[in-house]
Amino acid sequence: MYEFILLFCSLIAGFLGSILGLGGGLIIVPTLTLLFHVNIRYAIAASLISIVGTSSGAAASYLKDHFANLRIAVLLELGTVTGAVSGFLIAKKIQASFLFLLFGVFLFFSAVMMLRSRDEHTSTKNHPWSEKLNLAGSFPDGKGGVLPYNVDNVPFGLTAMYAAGVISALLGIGSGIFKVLTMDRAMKLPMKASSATSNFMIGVTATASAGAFLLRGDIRPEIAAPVSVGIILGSWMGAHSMIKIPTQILRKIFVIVLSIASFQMILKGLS
Amino acid sequence: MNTQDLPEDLFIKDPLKDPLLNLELRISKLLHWGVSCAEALMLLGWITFFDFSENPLLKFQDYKEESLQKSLQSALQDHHWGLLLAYAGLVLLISLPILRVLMTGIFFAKQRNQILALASFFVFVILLFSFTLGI
Repeated sequence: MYEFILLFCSLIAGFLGSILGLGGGLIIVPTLTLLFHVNIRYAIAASLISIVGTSSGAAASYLKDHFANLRIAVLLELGTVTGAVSGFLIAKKIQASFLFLLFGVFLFFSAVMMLRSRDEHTSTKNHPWSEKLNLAGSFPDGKGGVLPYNVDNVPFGLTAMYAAGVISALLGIGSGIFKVLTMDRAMKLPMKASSATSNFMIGVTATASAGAFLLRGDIRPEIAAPVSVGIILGSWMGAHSMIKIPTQILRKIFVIVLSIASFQMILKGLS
Repeated sequence: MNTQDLPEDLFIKDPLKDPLLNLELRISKLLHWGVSCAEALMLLGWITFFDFSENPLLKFQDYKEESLQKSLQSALQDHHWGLLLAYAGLVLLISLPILRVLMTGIFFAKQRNQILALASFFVFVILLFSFTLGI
């Protein structure tokens, strides 16, 4: 019975994550720890597996629709993957209470970021590394044309991706908010290209620590299977949802829910 | 902006003419089918070991280190096929991004884009190395 409830919660997490542009990890780790009282280390490991699944599934359609920039993804994965390996090594050394605290803080940060404006920040100049590696790209505008874009601040992007990788392995999340923020604000990629490329990279980032967690025995099929299947089904339903959902209202409600969960995670960390 | 205003090679719709587009479509298919198979294996395994009588999540309230090797050995001994199926799904799912990175590396190497090929192979090696950290 509990596993069915877990499957249902994961389905909701995947659905909400998909329509709100959040990763399922941000929802499923607090759900597992606060509602089901699962140890945070198992919760983080299960969440990473669901991230690999959702990212790979989403990446398939983003690639097909030509939104993701493969060249940028390959370059930035250098940062995220090395960061994830560092994160796994750090996670082994720190206490579970600290993980709760860190997750709580990150959850609050994500809630605040959900309220930010989503203006485009495109650049007129191309960074020399972008010139050399031919990173600039284009994506369909939906009207039969294409929107070309340049890429700026590549070294900063690479460094920020290292931090995103560390956080991903530590907290079992995709760090999509960090990745999109870096690509959108610093590297000046259009929002659609940032989101798609970030989603594409998340699977590789999560794999860098998920593989180690699997061999160490932290990924338990009893938790990971319903979570992963539920989140993937939920995100698929979210992506194909024909119902007109008032996302602005939902976003505001979700900011409150995330803030409460953040407060509870911090409280649990302090106790 | 209209496609006519852009250089011809910026956005070629035919995958046969654009090798990068061709690779993107192949990766897209690999990911799509790979995720579907992995999730099907996990779902099948999960249904097989489903237990109505108790709360299976109770035993995960406290963290206990038990390696994958040990879990697999006990699952084999107990003929716990559902668990083994779910593990097969997990392994397949994790191997997808690694395969994707390898395919990208080979593509960039063929295109003589040495920097991106090196970056892909470096990521590939790190991913393989990361597995050893869990042993």
